[in-house]
Amino acid sequence: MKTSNSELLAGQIKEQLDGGLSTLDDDAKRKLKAARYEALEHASSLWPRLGLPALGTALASVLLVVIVIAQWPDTDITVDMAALQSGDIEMLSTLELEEIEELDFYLWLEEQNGAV
Amino acid sequence: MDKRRELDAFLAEHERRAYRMAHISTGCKDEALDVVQDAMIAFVQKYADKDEADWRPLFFRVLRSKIVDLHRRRKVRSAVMRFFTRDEEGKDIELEVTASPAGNPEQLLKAQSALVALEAALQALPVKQQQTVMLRAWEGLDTRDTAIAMGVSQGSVKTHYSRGMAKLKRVLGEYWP
Repeated sequence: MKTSNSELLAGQIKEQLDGGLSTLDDDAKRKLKAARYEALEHASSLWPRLGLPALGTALASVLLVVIVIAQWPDTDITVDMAALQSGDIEMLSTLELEEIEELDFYLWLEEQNGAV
Repeated sequence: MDKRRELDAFLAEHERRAYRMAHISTGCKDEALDVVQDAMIAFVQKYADKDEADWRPLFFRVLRSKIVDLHRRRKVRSAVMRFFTRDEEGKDIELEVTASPAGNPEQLLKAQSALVALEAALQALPVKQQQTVMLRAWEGLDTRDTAIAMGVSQGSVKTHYSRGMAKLKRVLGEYWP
């Protein structure tokens, strides 16, 4: 099979840049290692903390919205508490701010996965 | 603690490449190190619980996002500096700009290092083309994973990649026949 010019160039780019990795100075290597350990510390402290605060915040937010709507003076809006399934609350509690901010990306990603 | 070991191995495998990508894109070692550290922390906080098979595009997505943030901050800083360096007639005063280590690609082509020439050529590309080329040609991500890392469509990845490669070929063709 004939290799295209683009593939040849890609191969040369990879070869050159890979070669450049071996010339990294010791200071950069040391700092990268320190950065990795620092990041892993964030991971370690993340496991036990996950869940409770996020769930608490989400529940408080949902309750606040429900109370405000229910108490609003000039509206006939009634909140059907039975419709608020436990699954909905669970879903809300797992949503992170970043995921909400990048909703477009996640919708697109889901679309891509669906297309495969 | 298996997850921690897996994360450690994953980050150790990719940290140097991530650093070089950030360095090429920012032209500054210290800023590149900061970008990689921020990316590692954000990655473990947001994506550590995802399937390990998805880590690579997600890690480079976070890295790209941090690089773009840095470019945005530079733009703002530069606008503020321009505002404060106007003379009485409102004309911009030339700021003393230190040339990036990579400098002008054409000059560097004359230098004897293919790597330096390549880095200079990469640095001269628009950021999206530069990142697409590095993710596809160097990191070896396929079109789909590159699209995830870049937060763009696969069609857009193909366009940026082919334009970037065409420019590199034009600049480096003489150097790499």
